[in-house]
Amino acid sequence: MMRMHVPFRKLSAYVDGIISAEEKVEIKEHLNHCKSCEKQYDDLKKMIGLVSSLKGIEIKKDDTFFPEIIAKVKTGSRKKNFRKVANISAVAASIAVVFGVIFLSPDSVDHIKNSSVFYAGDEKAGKNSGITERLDRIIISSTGREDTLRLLRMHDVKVKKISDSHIIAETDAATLRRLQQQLGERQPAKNTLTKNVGSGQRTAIPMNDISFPFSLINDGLSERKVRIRVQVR
Amino acid sequence: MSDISDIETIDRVLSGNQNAYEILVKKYQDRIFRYVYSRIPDYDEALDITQEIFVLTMESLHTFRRESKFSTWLYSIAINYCKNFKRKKRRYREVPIQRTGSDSEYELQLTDARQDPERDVIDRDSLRIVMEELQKLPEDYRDILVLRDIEGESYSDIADILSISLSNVKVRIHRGRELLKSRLQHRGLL
Repeated sequence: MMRMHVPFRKLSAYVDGIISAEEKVEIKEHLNHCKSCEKQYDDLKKMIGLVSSLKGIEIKKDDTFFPEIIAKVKTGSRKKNFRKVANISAVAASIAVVFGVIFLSPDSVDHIKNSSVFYAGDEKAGKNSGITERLDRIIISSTGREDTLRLLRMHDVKVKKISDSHIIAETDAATLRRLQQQLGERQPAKNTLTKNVGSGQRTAIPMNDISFPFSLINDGLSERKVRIRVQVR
Repeated sequence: MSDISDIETIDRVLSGNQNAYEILVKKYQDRIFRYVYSRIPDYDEALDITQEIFVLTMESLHTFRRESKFSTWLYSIAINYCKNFKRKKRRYREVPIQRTGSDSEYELQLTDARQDPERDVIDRDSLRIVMEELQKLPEDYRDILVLRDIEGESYSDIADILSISLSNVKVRIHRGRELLKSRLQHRGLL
């Protein structure tokens, strides 16, 4: 019979059954007589049980997860390394010009006026459909879905959902600023509407200058993710 | 050797049936997500990276040599992707994202298995603490405990996935468990 305490490495191997039959008998016998080792063993088993419970963590059910993978493969829009991105930056710039982002369509204005947050569905249906996904920006793209997607991906914008009419995406202020530079920075228009920026705060957004795509410097969004909806043709 | 059904599916994808790839994605998405999430404790970011890993895997599928299990190969891609991601993130010293109150860090689905009455003692708070402590472990120990104690991978498969020797796997498993055990004791879970 083992006289000394069972080392932790032996207990760990014992739990996994990767020790010799002889050692197994010895340890089992020792555990029957040594309270200290028995406690170590029980704690180890309990810990492994707790860790294995993390297997319950799953991806939330999302019908867009696989279609987005296929869309990314088809458009070859997986995040490339920086050298490749640099090589295609000229293409990105040219598409950016075509992209012609505007902030909000007239139809969207009423919705924003009447709502404290934006919703990730059809604006008209949003309030009644139970869709509660918050949006910080609605952008109208003058190009088709594939070109829009390509441009967003070139800027490492995280695409969340893709449908025929729009793309829901998430990014940060720095990325949006890079995009802004490519589109040609302009001063915000004086004529503005307000929008929600969280905690009941509302801040001004430019409306008349349709070429001014993003104003994130002073709107409280610069330090968190910005969720956008891009309407495509 | 690879699971025959995985090989058949891979052949279908390589012959042009891209939709067949969904079978592989559905089979492995949660496993890969759990691994990524153990390294990148942000649900949305971990989800994006999981998706990128599957895109990269599909693009590289023709290079899979079928000498190992598909899951082993997939894990290797995931591990390398996460390492590169963290390296790149360090290089650019990104400003941490400030989470708003509505962005729960633990928007995680727990399976029905957790409704097992015998396991009712394991509540969400305990799981949150276990995940936190696991995420804080040194990389070598964290990876190996995810593969062994969450995913139940065999010692030899872990050796293949991490490209380390079997004896190294044994050492890392017991050291990782010893460290995690002491930390969970400190948090009052043991």
